[in-house]
Amino acid sequence: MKKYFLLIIFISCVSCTIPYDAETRLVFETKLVDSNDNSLEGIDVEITVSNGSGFGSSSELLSFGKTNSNGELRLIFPSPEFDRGYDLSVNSPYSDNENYVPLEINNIGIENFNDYKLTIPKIYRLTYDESVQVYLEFNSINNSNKITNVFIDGINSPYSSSFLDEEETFYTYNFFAKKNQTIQINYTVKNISGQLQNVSQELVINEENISQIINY
Amino acid sequence: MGNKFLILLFLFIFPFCFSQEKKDNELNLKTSFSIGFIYPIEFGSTALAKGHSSNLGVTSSLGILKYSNFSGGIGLDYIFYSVEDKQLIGNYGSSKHNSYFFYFNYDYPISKKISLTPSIGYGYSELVIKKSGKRRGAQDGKEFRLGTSINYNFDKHNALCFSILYVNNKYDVKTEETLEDFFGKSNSIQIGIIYITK
Repeated sequence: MKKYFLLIIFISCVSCTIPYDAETRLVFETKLVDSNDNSLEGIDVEITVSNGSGFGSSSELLSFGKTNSNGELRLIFPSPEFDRGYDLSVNSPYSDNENYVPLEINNIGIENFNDYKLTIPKIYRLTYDESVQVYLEFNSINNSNKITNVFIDGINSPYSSSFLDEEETFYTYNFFAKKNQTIQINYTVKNISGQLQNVSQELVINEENISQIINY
Repeated sequence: MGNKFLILLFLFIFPFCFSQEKKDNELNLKTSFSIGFIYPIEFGSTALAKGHSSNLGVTSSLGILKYSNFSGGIGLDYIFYSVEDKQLIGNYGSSKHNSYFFYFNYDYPISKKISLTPSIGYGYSELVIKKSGKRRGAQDGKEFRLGTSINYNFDKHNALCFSILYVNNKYDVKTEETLEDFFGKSNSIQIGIIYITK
C-alpha cells in the first residue's frame, strides 16, 4: 500500500504543472543595444519559469516578445507561485543568436521586482568576434559571509550565474565582455550579523577569455 | 467558495419552487428557467478588451421570487476569451470568465406576445487563466450588470428573449500602479439570445 501511495505522489510530482498567482501581474522592461549603443529592433526575448533542472522539475515559457524600433521591450505576465521554489530567467532564443553570443539572466525571484516591475535599463548584445568570455568564481573565505547583488559595469552580455553549493557560498558568474576595455565588478557581501559591505574592483579585458577567482 | 454556495442554492431551491402555489399579487416563490448564448463586446483600456478576443458564452438563470411584475433569481455566465496579445497578457491560451449573480427583473408587457424586461444584477465573478486546457489560477472579482431584454412569448410558458446588458467587473489585482485598472476592471456590452420557460 505504501508503495502505491509513494508511486502516486511520485507521478503527481513529475506531471505537475506550474501554478500561477493570477492576481499578481509582473512587468519586465529593458532595452537591447549593440556594443556601440545602437538600438536593436526585432530581437526575440523570452521569460521562462522553472524550479530547477533535476528530475521532477517543471519549466515553461511564461512570456515572449520582440524589441521595438527603439530596442525597447515590455513583457507583462502572471506571476508564478514563487513560494513553491520557482524562479525566472530571461533569454534570447538561439535561433536569433547566429551572430550574437547567448544571452541569459537567471535566478530571478520576486525579490528582484520593485512594485511588481523589473527594469534592466540596458542589455548589450555582443558578437563572438568582438567579445571574450569571462568566468568569475566568488569563493567565500569565511563561510558566514554571503554574496549578493553582483553587477558588472561595462559593455557585457550576461550568460549565467548560480551557486554551486547548498550553503550558497560558492557563486559563479559567467558573461561575455567586449574586448579591450576595463570593467568594474561590483558586489555586496553580507556578514553573519547582517551588515552589508559593497565591494568594487576593476578587471582589464584584453583579447583572451578570462577565468578568475574572487575571494570574499 | 462563492460559486459552490450558489450551485448548492440552485440545487436546493429548484425542486422547492415547483411545489409552490402561484399568486401574482403577493410575494411568492415562482420559478422560471432560462438558458442561452451570450456574446460580450469588451471596451475600454482593459486586458479583456485590448489583449483578448471574445468568444460565444453561455448563460443560465433560475427565477425564484415574483411579486406582481417584479421577479428575482440567481444566474450564471461562462465566457471564454482567447489571448491574442501574449506580450501584453502572458503566454497562455485563454481566459475564462465565470460569474454567479443575483438579479431582479421588471416585466413590462408591450403587447400580448411581446414584453420588455429591464434587469439589474450583482454577484461574484472570477477570471480564470487556462493553459493547455488546465486551470492555472484565477482572479476573484465582483460583477454588476444592468440591461434589458425583449421577450417574444410563444405561449404562457415559453419565450424567446433578446437581451442587451452593460456588464462591469472589478477583479482583485496586484501589479504596477499604471496597470491596476487594466487588469483590475472589465466593461462589456453583452448581447444574448435566451430561451425562457416558466
